[in-house]
Amino acid sequence: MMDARARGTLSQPSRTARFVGAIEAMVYAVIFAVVLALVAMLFGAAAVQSRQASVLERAIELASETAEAFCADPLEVAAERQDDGLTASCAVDRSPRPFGFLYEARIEVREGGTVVYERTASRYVSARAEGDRR
Amino acid sequence: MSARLPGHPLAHRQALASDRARPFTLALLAIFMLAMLLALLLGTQVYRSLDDRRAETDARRLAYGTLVNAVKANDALDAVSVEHAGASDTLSMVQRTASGDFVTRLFVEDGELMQSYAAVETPSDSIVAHGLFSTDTFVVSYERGLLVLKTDPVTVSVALECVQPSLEGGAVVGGEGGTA
Repeated sequence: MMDARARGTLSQPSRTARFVGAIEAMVYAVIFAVVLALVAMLFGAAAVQSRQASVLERAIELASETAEAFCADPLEVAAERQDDGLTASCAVDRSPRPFGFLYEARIEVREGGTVVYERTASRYVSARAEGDRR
Repeated sequence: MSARLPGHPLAHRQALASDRARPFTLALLAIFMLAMLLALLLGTQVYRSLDDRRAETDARRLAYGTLVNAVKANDALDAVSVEHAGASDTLSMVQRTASGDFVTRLFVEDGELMQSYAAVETPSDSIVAHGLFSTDTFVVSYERGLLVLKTDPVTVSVALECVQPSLEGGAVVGGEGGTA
């Protein structure tokens, strides 16, 4: 009689306590998983931004190299240069000026199909110097 | 509130339930600890990668800026010359002033690019040079107004504004250079 009563009174709170404990553990696990996911996302975002900054730095260097090559000789500058997965394209426009020509270059650096960096460069070449170069 | 004696049946059942729950709690704790360790490992790897990339970018930027500034600051008519000595070159840039001629030299010594600045007539053994950055390679080439300096961290191209007969190996022709 005593055992049955004890069993009856004990089994109900014990199941409830176990159920509450399991729910509590699940809530902890979910919170922990969410925090871990957020931290992983932050790490991933930091890595991506670092890579983008590095690519931008290389793109600026490549654009400067192309601009210097253009300014050294606007008639012979390569239309495309490639370095480390980046492609620099140089479109040159020539317009007549008194006693010479103004060369303007539009330089675009792409990674894949995306433009990473672009800049312009200009150079005046006298008609006499252009005749000498040609 | 009500403390049960060890011999009490309720205390015995509670102890049994606690024993059953213990492995689950331990497993949960182990999973949490493992996940925290993994997160820590991931974090250190990301940080190491960021730091490596930053150091590499800093080295490139330092080398690029130093070389471009040194050449552009000394870009004058027939000021630049190159001496090919051994595996690496020496770039000399002369600055002509009313007080005399001064020369800036860039060369490699003990795995470092060195820069010296002295009067032209100063004996070479009394010239003091200071290190710019680490490199074993320093190769200078010049073609049609474009001076190319190749070092370990970076290759730099500089369009010289003034003609350099000593680099072209001939007389001054045209006399035009350019700037970006």
